[in-house]
Amino acid sequence: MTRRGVVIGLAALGLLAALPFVFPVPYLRHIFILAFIYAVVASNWDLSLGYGGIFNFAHVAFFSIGVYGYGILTKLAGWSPWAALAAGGVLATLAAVLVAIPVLRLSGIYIILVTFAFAQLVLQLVVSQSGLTGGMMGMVGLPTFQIPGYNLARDGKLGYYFGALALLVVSTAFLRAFVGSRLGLAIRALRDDPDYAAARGISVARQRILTLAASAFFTGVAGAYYAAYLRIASPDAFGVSLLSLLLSILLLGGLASIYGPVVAALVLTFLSEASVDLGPWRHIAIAVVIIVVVRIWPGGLWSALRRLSS
Amino acid sequence: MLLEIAGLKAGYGGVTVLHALDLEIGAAETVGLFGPNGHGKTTLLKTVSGLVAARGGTIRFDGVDITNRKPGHIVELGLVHVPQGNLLFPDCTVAEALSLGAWPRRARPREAANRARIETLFPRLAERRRQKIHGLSGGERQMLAIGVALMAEPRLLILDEPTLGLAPKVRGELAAAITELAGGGLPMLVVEQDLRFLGAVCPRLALIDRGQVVLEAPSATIDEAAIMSRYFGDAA
Amino acid sequence: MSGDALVTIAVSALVLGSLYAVMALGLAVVWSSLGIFNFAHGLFMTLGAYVAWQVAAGAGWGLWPGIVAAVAAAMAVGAVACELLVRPFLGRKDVVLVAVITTLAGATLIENGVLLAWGGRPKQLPPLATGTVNLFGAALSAHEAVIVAITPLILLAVWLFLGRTRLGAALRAVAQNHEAALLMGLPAARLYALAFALAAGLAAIAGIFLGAIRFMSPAMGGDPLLKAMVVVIFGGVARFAGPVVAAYLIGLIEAVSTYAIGLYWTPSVLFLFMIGTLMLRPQGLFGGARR
Ligand SMILES: Nc1ncnc2c1ncn2[C@@H]1O[C@H](COP(=O)(O)OP(=O)(O)O)[C@@H](O)[C@H]1O
Ligand SMILES: [Mg+2]
Repeated sequence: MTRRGVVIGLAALGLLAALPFVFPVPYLRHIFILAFIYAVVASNWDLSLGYGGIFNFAHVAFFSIGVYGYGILTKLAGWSPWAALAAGGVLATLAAVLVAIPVLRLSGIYIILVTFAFAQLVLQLVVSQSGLTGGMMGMVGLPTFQIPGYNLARDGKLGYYFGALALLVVSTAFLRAFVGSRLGLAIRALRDDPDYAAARGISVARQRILTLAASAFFTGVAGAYYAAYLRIASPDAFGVSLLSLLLSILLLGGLASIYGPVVAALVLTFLSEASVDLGPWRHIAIAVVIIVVVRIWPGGLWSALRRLSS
Repeated sequence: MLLEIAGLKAGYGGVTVLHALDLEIGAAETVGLFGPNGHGKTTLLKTVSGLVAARGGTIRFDGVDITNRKPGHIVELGLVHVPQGNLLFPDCTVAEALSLGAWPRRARPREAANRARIETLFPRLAERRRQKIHGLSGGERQMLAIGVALMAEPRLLILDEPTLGLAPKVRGELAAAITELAGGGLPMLVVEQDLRFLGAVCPRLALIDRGQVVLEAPSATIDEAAIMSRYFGDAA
Repeated sequence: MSGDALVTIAVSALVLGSLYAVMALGLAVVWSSLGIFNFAHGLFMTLGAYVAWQVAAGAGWGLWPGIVAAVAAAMAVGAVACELLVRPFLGRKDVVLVAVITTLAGATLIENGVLLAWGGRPKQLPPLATGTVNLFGAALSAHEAVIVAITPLILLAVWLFLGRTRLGAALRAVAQNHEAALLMGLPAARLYALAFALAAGLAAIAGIFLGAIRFMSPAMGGDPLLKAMVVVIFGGVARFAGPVVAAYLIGLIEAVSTYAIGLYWTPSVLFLFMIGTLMLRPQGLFGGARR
């Protein structure tokens, strides 16, 4: 990272850390918490989709697996919420490896179909196993995080705010490190020219599994965090509207940029929350925005802005 | 003039391939076009038929300005282009491809007659009528490509290296058919590497060099050996 | 297993197979001609069911005018969807991914449009035929019998159209070699719109099938789309027979699995089947084409 990048990053972090004290409004914090979580999910998706070039549409399912994993482990198996948080990441990673197996030998459109079908079938499974998951109603009243002597939801969700921010920082640092590593370079080489990369001895199978697994861990953790924060696990976590929101975050942010989706998540979560009262019109508006953005700025808003500024 | 190309510029992305190219074809004329590989012959033909955008200059076909018109529109006027190395439609049959050739409205009324004429010209196509195109040999495929173009009732037929990569025997068959077409009064613009063949079919030849027509002359006056050494010999 | 159970399973397999075949064929037509997967396909089904309901039950003009209106409306919306959501991006390197995104957005548009127009309350279409039919001792509704009987006719009609008409050949040609098709004067843009319209019309018919069996909701197309997706993964789109045979096979697997181990585990069984097939034959059960 350039020096200027470090300065900007630290400044942004400082701003976000100061924000809850400058504007002590719980609702504002609530939106930021959601935005941080979506930012983690979207930027990790960027790893497989943008950097890896793997058309993985099961990413939202990794998130939901984190959500339900947390719900089931804490509520039915009596695990401690902190252990369940980590378990959410591990379960999502395992799911990613499972998805990776059929994906290894496929390309393009077939990867999309298989991963999409995987996500939908996991959803059907969750809905159908109502004894475990509560079916369509989902699970409510999930245990929240406790630090001895302090409830994270107190002081206007302050604990959750900083927890989510920390999660975003750790996840982003992980993604940057991953992308810059030798493995990250190999993944991009594979995306840009599979034949050349294969000729250089880069194993397609190994890279794909590693990329998917790496993109799933923090996504699953984010899912568990989401469940602990909202105290519910519901099938909406698989829904097309969450998928659309995440896709528009990725699109606005631009693929293969990591910071792009993070910034876009902050912007779009605000817009999305602000338009909750619009009902169906809200979804229509998001869909129109997506189509228009794809038409006008093929590289995403982030890259359009960067091109403007350079 | 049947085809008038004036000051034509075209290219791909940041590369310009055709630099103000001029070429004319008379009312009942067949012109041969040749020149080194990569100097813009295919690009010229594609620009004429509307696949590549012209960046300057004009193309007129039978008095009508067709610069940057849609390919379908140009075919409908009767200017038909058989592309280089045409693979056609692997999963369609020979008969289907021929019937698709008669897509332009003006070719519909005489479809059956044209089909019969083409199957006489290329008897092999008649034998393979029900076969899928992916099973054809390279020579048969080229015959079919020309047959498909003839189904459109061309008023000017453009052939891009019709004998490229074919065995000598099939080459001979194709050359004979092309000569027959030219003899029948169909105006053509033919691109070929084989100058002897080109000279036999086309009374007039044009040499393309770095995106411009640098020499036009009756075939009889063209000194094959000199051309070969000037344009192909240096590199060899 | 008793004989009755066998007949029940067979009937259920045929009804499901018919539904999936009609859906999957539309997906396959679009996929094989444009090289993209249309995620709005399930919404064409929804739209068809609602338009049919509006004309048949809402306005009270009867089912047949409703069917005609539904198919026509779906075809028109399909052609527009192609023009707005897909064609601008054809030729772009990332068209496959972009088309997923834009057709998903299109699906959201239609779903919420339906929600705004008709509300979320469940509705039901009148059946294609009333009463029951006795088949080897098992009773099935006349509506289902009609579905099972006319689906082969619909499939045959599409097969004849694609395989025996010039327009059908043009649809296939433009998919196989865009440039050569253009040079022959084939109107590529209109053919793409036609492929979408054809697919949407088929989906509307599937919607009419389903709308009288289950309750209609704006999200009703989701599950059939998913199954049709499994069908085309399973059967490939290279040949006409691929998705059709796969549709009936998936219908059978679903019927057997629902009977034997219950509705709840059926999605997992289907998924395992799909994964297993892909591991052994990445080109699909009947596919010959590379993917
Ligand atoms: N689709 C394309 N994109 C970019 N450059 C191209 C393309 N097609 C041809 N070219 C370039 O244009 C030049 C002329 O090519 P072409 O017209 O095919 O020549 P010829 O037919 O005389 O061999 C070559 O340098 C070639 O590399
Ligand atoms: Mg050439």
